Amino acid sequence: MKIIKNVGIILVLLIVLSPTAFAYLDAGTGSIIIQALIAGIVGSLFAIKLFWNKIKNLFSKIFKKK
Amino acid sequence: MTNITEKISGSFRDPSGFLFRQNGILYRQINKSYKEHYDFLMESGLYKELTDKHLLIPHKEASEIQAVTDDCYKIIQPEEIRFISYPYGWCFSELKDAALTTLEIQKIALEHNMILKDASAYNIQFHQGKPILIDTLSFEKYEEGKPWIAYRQFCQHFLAPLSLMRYKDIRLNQLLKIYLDGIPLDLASKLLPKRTHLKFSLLTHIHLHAKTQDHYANKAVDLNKKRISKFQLLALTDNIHSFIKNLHLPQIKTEWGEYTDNTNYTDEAHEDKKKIIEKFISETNPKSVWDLGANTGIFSNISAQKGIFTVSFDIDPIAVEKNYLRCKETGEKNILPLISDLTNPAPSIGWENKERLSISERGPVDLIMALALIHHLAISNNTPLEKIAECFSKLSKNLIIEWVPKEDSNAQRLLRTREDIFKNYNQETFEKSFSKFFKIKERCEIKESKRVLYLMRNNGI
Repeated sequence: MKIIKNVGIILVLLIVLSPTAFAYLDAGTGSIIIQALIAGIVGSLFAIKLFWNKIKNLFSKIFKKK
Repeated sequence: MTNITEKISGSFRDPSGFLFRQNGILYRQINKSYKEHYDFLMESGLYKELTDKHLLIPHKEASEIQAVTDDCYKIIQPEEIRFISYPYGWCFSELKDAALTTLEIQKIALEHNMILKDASAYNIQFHQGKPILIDTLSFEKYEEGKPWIAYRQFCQHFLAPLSLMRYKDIRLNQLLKIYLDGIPLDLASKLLPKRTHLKFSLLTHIHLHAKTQDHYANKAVDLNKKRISKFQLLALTDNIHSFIKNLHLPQIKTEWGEYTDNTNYTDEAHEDKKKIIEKFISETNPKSVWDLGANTGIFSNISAQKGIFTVSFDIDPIAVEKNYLRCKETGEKNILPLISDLTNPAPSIGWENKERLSISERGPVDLIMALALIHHLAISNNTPLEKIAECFSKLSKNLIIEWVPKEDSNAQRLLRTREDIFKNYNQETFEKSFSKFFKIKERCEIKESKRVLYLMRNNGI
């Protein structure tokens, strides 16, 4: 559910954030906020990836034994 | 003996320490403020793992060297890099490998409870054919929940130029010459094609990143609430790593990338040219060579195979790319392929124009090879022969140069679309011009060709 929520936030950000006038840039703030958001999404995907790799390794071990 | 200590001009931003030279040897002072992190780097096993894997430059502690300033904790002597190169001189795959190395280091650092506190492309150098982190002070102890402070810098230094080179134009890494701290993300976002919004990594790390930066530019936000777990940081690192690893250049042809297949040499002339160059190199016995206009590095191979470190410059990013990929495939450690336009070489840039050195400040070298180059400089760039000779004399002690006469088909090709205003472009003027700066030691005609190879010795250096 968390991943769906985060993807939702990204979509909303994409629609809401329109280019504004040039301003003094505090690049750090925006970078940390987007980093936290992306880390939330890819964190969930990473967990799935690691789990999937474990299954693949398990199968390859079984087949190797045969 | 008096010690001459000279601080390195590009090393002043990080309060953890700085680089200096004493009697020609490079040292790094580590300040007391960095003690805790340095000790942890050495004791946690991180230093050992990174140096064992050739990801971090090895160093030894130099307790015999006196502190340069009062806040000194330790002085270390890092292994020296043969030639300092910058990301605007790298081809696509060199920048890609430097990015992947940075991410690999970040992953290993996190596993040892440390994190990269900066992710500057200038902290990566090519050492024995591979990218390596040269800044030993780039690590700090990891605090659970804290975000990656260097994330923005990584995106600007690596992700933005790589995606621009891949999706817009291979020459766009030259923007790094203008933007010292990497390509601003709003600029990268504007330049990238619209279709890149459909790629999750570019949508988030570049486009949305740029918009979020802009949106929060003047807003006060409590960043302490933004917590990122170590697992999430590893996931973020893995995500960017996978994206960059799968970035490949589309098949593009450039004039020079195809040069080796289209050259007008016969096989015998080519072999003879190689033999003469090999003989000249042996006679000169240089410690290092710059091959100017090296193309894909065929002749750089001759010096490299003799164990001589050779910087292989070319103007064409595709030729440099081919050279780098070939060196990588064959395990060639003595060649460093770099992009450089000799008619407009990389200047010194940064603070007081001293942070990043110009090409000439990174010389002189023992031997320059300028093969099949003179007609490009003299005819395409309208440079008088004497000026070319003067330029080479400032860069090198010895010179192997190939004379390409006007009747040569490649020189004729350059004259096809323009008026021949080069009355002085002849062998006699060439020898006379170069004799002002060099002593002509040998001249050899290349078999089955109108070209002549010269070995010259600098009168000055």
